[in-house]
Amino acid sequence: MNVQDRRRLLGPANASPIVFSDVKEKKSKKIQAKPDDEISKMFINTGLVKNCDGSAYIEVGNTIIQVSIYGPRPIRGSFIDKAILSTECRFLPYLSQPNDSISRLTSSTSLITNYNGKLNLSNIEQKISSYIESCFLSCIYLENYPKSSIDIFIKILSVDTNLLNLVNDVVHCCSLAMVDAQIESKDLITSGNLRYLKSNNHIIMDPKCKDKDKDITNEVVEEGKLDLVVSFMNSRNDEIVGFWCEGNDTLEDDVLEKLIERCNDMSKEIRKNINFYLIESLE
Amino acid sequence: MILSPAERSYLYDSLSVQPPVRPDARSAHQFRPIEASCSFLPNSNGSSRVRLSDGGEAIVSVKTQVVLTKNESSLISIDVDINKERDDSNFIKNLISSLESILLKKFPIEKLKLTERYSFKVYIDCFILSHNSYPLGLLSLCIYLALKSTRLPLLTSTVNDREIEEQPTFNDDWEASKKLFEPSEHQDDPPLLFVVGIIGNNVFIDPSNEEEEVSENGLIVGFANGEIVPPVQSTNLSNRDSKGISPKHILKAYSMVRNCGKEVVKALNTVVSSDDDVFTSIY
Amino acid sequence: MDVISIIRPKVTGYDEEDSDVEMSDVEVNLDKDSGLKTDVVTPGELVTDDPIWMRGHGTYFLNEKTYSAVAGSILKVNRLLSVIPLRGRYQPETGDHIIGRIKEVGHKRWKVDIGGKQDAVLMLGSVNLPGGVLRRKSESDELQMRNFLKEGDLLNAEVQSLFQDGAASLHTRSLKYGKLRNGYFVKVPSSLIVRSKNHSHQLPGNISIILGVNGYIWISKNVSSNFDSTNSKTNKHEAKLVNHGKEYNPGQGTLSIPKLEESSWEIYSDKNDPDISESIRSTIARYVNCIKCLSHCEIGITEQRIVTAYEASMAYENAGSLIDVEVMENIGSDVINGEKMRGNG
Repeated sequence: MNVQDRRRLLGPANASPIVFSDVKEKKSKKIQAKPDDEISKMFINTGLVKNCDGSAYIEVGNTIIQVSIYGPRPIRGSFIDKAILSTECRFLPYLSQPNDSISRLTSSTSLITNYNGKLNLSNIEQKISSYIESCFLSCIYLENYPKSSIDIFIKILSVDTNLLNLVNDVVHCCSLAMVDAQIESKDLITSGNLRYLKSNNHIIMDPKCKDKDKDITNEVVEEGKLDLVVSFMNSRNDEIVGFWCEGNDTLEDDVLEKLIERCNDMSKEIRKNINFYLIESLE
Repeated sequence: MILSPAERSYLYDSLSVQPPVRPDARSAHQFRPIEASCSFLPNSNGSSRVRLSDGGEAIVSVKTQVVLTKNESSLISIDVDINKERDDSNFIKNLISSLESILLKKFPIEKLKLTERYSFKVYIDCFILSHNSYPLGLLSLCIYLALKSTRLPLLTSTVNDREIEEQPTFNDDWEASKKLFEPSEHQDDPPLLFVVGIIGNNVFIDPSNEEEEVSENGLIVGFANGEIVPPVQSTNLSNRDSKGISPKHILKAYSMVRNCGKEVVKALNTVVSSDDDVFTSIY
Repeated sequence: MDVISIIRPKVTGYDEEDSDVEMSDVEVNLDKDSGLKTDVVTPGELVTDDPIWMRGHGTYFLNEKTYSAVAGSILKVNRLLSVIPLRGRYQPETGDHIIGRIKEVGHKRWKVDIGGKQDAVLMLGSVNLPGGVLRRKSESDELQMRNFLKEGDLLNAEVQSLFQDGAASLHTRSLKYGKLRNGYFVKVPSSLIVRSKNHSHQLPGNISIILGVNGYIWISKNVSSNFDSTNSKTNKHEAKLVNHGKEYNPGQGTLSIPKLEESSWEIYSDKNDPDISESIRSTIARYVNCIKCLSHCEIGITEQRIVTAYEASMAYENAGSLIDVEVMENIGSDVINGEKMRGNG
């Protein structure tokens, strides 16, 4: 080539294109199947994020959640006698969100950016946000913080489970962050999550399985399945602060009562562990 | 809506005595009277309008479109539009996901299948003209009526178009159309969602604006075919003074919805059948 | 079991025959004596072409003719001609007994929602503060205004004066005004409230009611019956005090000073009477439904009519059935018929 393009900055003459080495499929960590009546192990840590008022990190299997809390911080504008609580839950953009029936429909519309290029919250994200918000509204002494706001930011870094199970872990992560932020609360919220299979009257505690995608004809893959997550204030007479049930079966009173009880057991168990962690971390 | 502390405590005390004295003297299981009509939009396959006595009003239209099945991720699309609310607001998204979560499970998808290639896609468009209380209950009643009055034109072309490419054609005669939800043994009625308010030991259905304001917590309960179906969810009806609930509340809400649900379905079906007569007399 | 009542929307379509007749029937109905149209006028309608009339609210003047600017009824006071709108927001007038809700706490004043075009203003100087009428308002009072009245609080007050722009300035310098407790708040269109001498009444069943001229109504348990017996007396003394204003002489109206001091902080308390019985609560709920009946039937609301409606409602054992449209209309017609029978309808 003797005609040189003088308008361009050229690279060195001996440049060669980059070549990637063959990408080897990394095997994802195989989680050992746990017995149905056991709670899966979790890794928790608090105070990792330094520029917020409280944060927590939780890892359960391949699911990773991080929560940061900002506040109580002052708000502008008119007087309010109680703090405003706001919650925002976001999945990292490349994650496929738990493909429960709820998100399935709107998956095409969920990834709409608004004018400032930020991704709008998808329905699943909104749903988780409101669940968390309604749990903590009953728990935080908001009246102790007039003229202020408390903002909870939930980041889902990785997800490998069904929706309600994820919500369960998010609740615990938020509770830990709440303690780390030193916000006055009535209690520490923990929750329990179950799957009930009607056919054999079987209860799976802390189910880690992903939901299968349903095809367009909406054929129900698993018949008679109920998913339940119940959040409690265990040291305040086991008050229920959050209740969410999904599934495709009718709900009988006696079954429900039993399921709530089992959720409560699970919640208490987790509470014990979280308490233990918090006391340890103080010492 | 802001209430003065004296009003708030008066309402709270009235609603927590046994039995609750509701501000409009309703009994705990009594709905506010509604004004309803259906099949009034000539260009829709099904439509309905419901007005509440407090001025809340919603219009729902059900339209269908013939689509290539393989191009669609879902055959049902629900959209909610409320004046003054952004389409991507948490409020609207939560309404949509609650509605989707129940409608999807109980939808006669097989009726939408036309041929091997083509299906109907159902668009459920909800428009809330005004609302004072949480509009989910109102919307659910309205969707029920719209779906019950939905008619699909009769297919005249062949069902099997696997070999020969052919656009489906339909019978012009509206008399020959068939209903999407035809009452029969195999076919269920559309599902309903009820909002239940909780104060003290009392649960009450269809809370008004003021009742929501003083509610300690709320439940959204699904109902289909005389049984409680998921989703069942706790929700904060107001941002103030929320408290935890006990399993007792949930069970109470259950039996209340189970009892009321049947009556509501009966009343709604009368509306549908009487409007259907008008409809057939016009066409 | 009454769970839900569904009514069908009324078909308001008109027969074509009828409308034809009406169209040909439309005639400008002129009052022979004054050259005035009577009854109801719509915006843009010619009211009179006689230039002798003074033009009041709700009218406009074009080419020597007076037109109506609103839909409403014509009111003639001497030579003043105005059109009173059928609906619309409450228009405050000096002396109106109204109920309002605090919207904002500002500098030495509260903004009060009274359902008008503009928020009313309640100055810190126009309220009674704990410690008696003569107490000077200090800076510490300014700082603790939210302890007296805060956002959301309901109060009854009197329109003291009107500003140039039509906004109202309120005062609560009487024991009959102040914060509202022990009851329930209902809103009706302000046009339904008939202005009268007295707007607070006692109703059968140990209930008090305040019919705010702005359409805000407060129904509560009748708490202090002894207060009512002395009510008129105290008010008289108070009126005297207010009249005297700054040149108040010690020795005059001394009776009312201890009375006010007694009330002290209690007048700004948010606590309800601890024992409001269930029967009182149900009675209040029934009265509320009766008022809604009257409002639904667009009957002007007076003490007498509320009592009549309440008595008529007793035919329905369950007060919850009063929310049905049919029942509401029955009660409305009962009230009207009752008045006709007594010959004042």
